Amino acid sequence: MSNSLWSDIFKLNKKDDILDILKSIPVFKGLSRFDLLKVNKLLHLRRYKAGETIFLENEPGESMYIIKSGKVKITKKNKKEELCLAILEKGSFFGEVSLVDEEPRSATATAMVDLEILGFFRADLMHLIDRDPRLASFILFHLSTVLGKRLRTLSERFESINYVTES
Amino acid sequence: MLQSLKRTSNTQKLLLLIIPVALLCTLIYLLQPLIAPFFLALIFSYLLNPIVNRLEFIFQKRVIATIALYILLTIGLIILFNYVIPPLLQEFNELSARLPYYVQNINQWILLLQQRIESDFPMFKQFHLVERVQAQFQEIAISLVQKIPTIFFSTFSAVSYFLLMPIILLFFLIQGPDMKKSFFQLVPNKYFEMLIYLFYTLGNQLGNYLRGIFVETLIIGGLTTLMLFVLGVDYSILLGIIAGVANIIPYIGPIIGAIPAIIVFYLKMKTVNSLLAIVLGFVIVQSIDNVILKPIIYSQSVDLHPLTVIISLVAGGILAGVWGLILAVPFVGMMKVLISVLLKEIRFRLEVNQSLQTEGTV
Repeated sequence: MSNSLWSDIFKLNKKDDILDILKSIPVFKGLSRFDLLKVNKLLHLRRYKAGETIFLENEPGESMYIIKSGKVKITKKNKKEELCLAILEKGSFFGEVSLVDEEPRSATATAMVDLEILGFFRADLMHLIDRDPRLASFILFHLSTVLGKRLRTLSERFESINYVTES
Repeated sequence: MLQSLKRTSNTQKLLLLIIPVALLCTLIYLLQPLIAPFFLALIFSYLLNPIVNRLEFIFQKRVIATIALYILLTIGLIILFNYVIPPLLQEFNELSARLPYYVQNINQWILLLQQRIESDFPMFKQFHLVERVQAQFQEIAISLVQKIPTIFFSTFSAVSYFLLMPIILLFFLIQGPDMKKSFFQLVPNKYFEMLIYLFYTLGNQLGNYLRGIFVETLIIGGLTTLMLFVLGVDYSILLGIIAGVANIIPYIGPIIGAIPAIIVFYLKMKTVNSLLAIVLGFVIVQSIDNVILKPIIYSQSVDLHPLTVIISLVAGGILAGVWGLILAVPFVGMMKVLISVLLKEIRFRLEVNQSLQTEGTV
């Protein structure tokens, strides 16, 4: 009883917790508290049980997810074998490519423990372009920075593999 | 034993599904008068949402943006009731006073046509074709004229509409995004993404179509009124509005909208030149609509095959009369999007199932 009362009083703290997580994510880097509150309004909080699939490889993808609590395993199928690409924890994000492109998901995401994630949808980003173009272009700019960095790392890795095979 | 347990659980599930659905249906039936203002508010919210979004960009708060929109709408309504409605009512009264004159003339034309057909093709006399057509025409014309006020006023007249609709609309506009979000929280994880996508796509299509129709009706109504005014046709505002509204119905609408104006003008001037002039006027307005307006307005909304449009129009007309004609195309467009998204999803699920099965056998 007292617990729920306290949790109600400290509801603000909960919001701050989400805002802290958002602040640490490259896509929302440098946004003011006011803007982060706006972004928070767009996010969908989803709860998953351990072992539940968040999305499957090749499924049509519409959103990026941010982990509020718990762990997520990202896997990819390679000739009937399942490769584990990454294990993500609180404050990490995944599926961000779906925000800009309409291709199917490139990997499967599964909840490893009971999980709380925040979904940010392409549809909401599109609406944000109408409602607050400044904020939307800020987010899109940071999103493209994230994707650009990844492209750079990939091409560097590709070059080094090429170098190894050639030598 | 286990099977019977399973079976009972299935029937229980079915009962659990049927009872709430039945309750919901009864509730909807009992609250019938509430549905129309609710539905109307929904349509208006789709129409006005982008405007609120733009205003939100200026005022930063959605509540203030919505209030600003309401103030703008009130000013618009005041102008409408002061400057547009009074001359319109006057024209309507004058036209209905002269209606017998027009009907008499149309009857004379039909009689002339009948005599000519019967003199040219005597065999038609046996079929009483013209009498039949005339009887049908009169029936349709009378029922239509009687219906025109009821079509519009039966849906809009009740006081509750004018009180309820703006209030429901206010909440839809201010809290629309939050309402959607709370609704999505009820959806199971598995279908959640697909449903958001479906909602967004359908909302976009419907919104674009409704806004498109609204803008097109305004422009075509305005252009027709201007054209009729320049030619010197009586009741130009009323006939312009009729042409604009009829224009919503694809293909046949423009013709239906042009006929009253052509008859009124011809009976006033009684020259072939005047007939040519007004037909040319309508052709110009329609060309502007088809060449300039339609490609811009409908570029982002439903694209349906012309045959689909015609068939859905006829079906809509048969099933729901004038409203069916108006709503057929957006309804079929939404069905098209819905089915294509669901098919994509079903195909994906089937593929996943198949790959799981093959893995199981291997």
